[in-house]
Amino acid sequence: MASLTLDKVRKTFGSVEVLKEINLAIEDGEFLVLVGPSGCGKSTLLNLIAGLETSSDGEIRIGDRVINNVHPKDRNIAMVFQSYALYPNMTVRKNITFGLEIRGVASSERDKAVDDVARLLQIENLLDRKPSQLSGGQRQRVAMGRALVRNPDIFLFDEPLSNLDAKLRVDMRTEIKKLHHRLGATIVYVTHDQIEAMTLASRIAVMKGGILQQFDTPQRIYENPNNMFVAGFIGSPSMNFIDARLIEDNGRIAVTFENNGQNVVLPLQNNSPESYRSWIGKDVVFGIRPEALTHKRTGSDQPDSQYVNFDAKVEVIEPTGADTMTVINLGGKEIVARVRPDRATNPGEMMTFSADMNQISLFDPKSELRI
Amino acid sequence: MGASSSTESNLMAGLQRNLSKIVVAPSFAASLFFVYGFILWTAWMAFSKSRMMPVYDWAGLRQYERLWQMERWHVAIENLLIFGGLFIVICLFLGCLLAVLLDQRIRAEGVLRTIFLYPMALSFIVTGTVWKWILNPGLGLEKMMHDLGWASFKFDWLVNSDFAIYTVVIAAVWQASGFVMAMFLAALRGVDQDIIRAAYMDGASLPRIYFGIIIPSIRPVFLSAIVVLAHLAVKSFDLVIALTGGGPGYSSDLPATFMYTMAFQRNQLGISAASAMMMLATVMAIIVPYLYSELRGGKKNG
Repeated sequence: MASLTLDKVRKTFGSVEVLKEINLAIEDGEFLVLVGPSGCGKSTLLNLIAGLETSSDGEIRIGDRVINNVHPKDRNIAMVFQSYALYPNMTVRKNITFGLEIRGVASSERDKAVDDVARLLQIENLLDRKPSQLSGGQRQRVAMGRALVRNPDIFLFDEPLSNLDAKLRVDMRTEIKKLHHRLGATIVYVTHDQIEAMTLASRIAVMKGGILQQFDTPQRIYENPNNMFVAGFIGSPSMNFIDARLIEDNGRIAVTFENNGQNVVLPLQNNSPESYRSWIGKDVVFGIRPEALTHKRTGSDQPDSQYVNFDAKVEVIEPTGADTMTVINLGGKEIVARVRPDRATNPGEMMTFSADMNQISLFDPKSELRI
Repeated sequence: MGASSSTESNLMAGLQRNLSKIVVAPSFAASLFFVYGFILWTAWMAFSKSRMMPVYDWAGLRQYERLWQMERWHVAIENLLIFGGLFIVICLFLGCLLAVLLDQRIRAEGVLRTIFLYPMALSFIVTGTVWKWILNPGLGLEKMMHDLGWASFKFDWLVNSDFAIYTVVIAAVWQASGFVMAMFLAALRGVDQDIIRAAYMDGASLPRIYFGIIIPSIRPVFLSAIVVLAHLAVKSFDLVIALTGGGPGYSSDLPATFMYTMAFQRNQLGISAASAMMMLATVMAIIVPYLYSELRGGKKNG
């Protein structure tokens, strides 16, 4: 087990720069998730750590050891692939011990290691089968077993759950999390699924276009996204964005936007950052998550309440069971509010909503950065 | 009037319905007659007293007895074993090696692949003729070496009755190994690249990855390649005719050239038919189990 540091790592393919100065550092035992849309460079970054590709610039360190020019097999890392990449001609047992065999581990030790791993992953009864005789979930376990048996410093996971069906994916997610707790291993995990990122990570690195957008704990990324991309990418349904203007209203800073010919004014909390003052009179993007936008709450009529009420017409409702996603038209945009099912109304009706002004984000419309 | 138009439309509908059968019927009938009909006719010939002209008197297994008493038939069979064995083994080895080397995502792969595959586009006659020139001691390789000053160089397999069959192997391998390469390359491309990466991270060397994992996992392609090569070997005729003409003497005869000689030059139609049936039996022995396993496998998957 070891820490991992990426220091100004760059990668170019010809003239195309796929990774631009990535700086990341995680401690021993952390669970880092690299998340982003397709083509954001997350898999390339993982391959750089694995040694399957070489970086164009910068330094990669495991512990204190610079591994840029170390052969993958000497980096002491193990990788679980999206396609599982099991060796089709070998039994599960051979698959798991192949790496040990090449490293010249004695056969009695190998047998013991396989038995330990098989017990941990509950695949003891599969050891003599071929990969073609296994289900997707079982292959996934074997692929993890193959990584575990090597007892590496760092585990790399390349979208390991994306070939599984939805139910199994959730189960395996929990399993991976448990495994991480039990082993205390350092893990780098690549996914495009933000829920996987949120649930698994101790720290998330959100990437887009080869640039690291934000690197922080899941909760902080969720609550304080650096920019509109991160805000929109993390969270489901994603954050609502409304083009608005910042004004001063009775001594309080407020967001205002036009809705159906009327001005909606949503005063901000008194404890909002000082930096907002310089944006008074300017256009901003007002970001609010669906769960901060809900049916009218008790006590929301108090003048100093964190909840601000407004009326809007319901366009569409999407019941999910726990909550009813209510789509309304606000400031010319479709906005999703998360409403308790017993408080939801029918499409076409007017309804009073209340916005939690403690959970808002403001963005610069030009740079898309957080204010 | 109305009745006649309805019969007409019935006829048209029937035609429409059976159009595919009607179109296929002539070629079906032709192949039924010319392929399977003549197989039966040949089988009959092999049991007759035919010599120069076909006669239909029953002679039992007499033609087969005569066939197996002929020294020349034994040479042809022995040559088939040498030729077939070496041809298949060398083609598999070279084809596999070329495919693995081409699989390394090298530059100009398309050009190289075409170069290796082109010999397959030639007819065996052309291949045989070209190699006859190259291997001719007074014309080709040996003469070139002599002209370059290597006077002791000797490469006379083509005219040496102990080695003539090996020149057939050389030419046939040259022609077919590119095709085997293409088969293997297609199979290698079907192998998940992540498997190679996983093995690489496990610390396996490239030869170990290929011989320990990749090649064993494309075993079905070996079977297909062997079947294709084996039937090429058994029915080899034009290559031998063009390259050695079965000579010197009959030292490089194969069953196919033997059959041709017996039928059209030696007036031994019965022996020729018997040898043809022996070849058919050989090919069937290879193809039938293969087809059986393929069809059964297909059912299992479907």
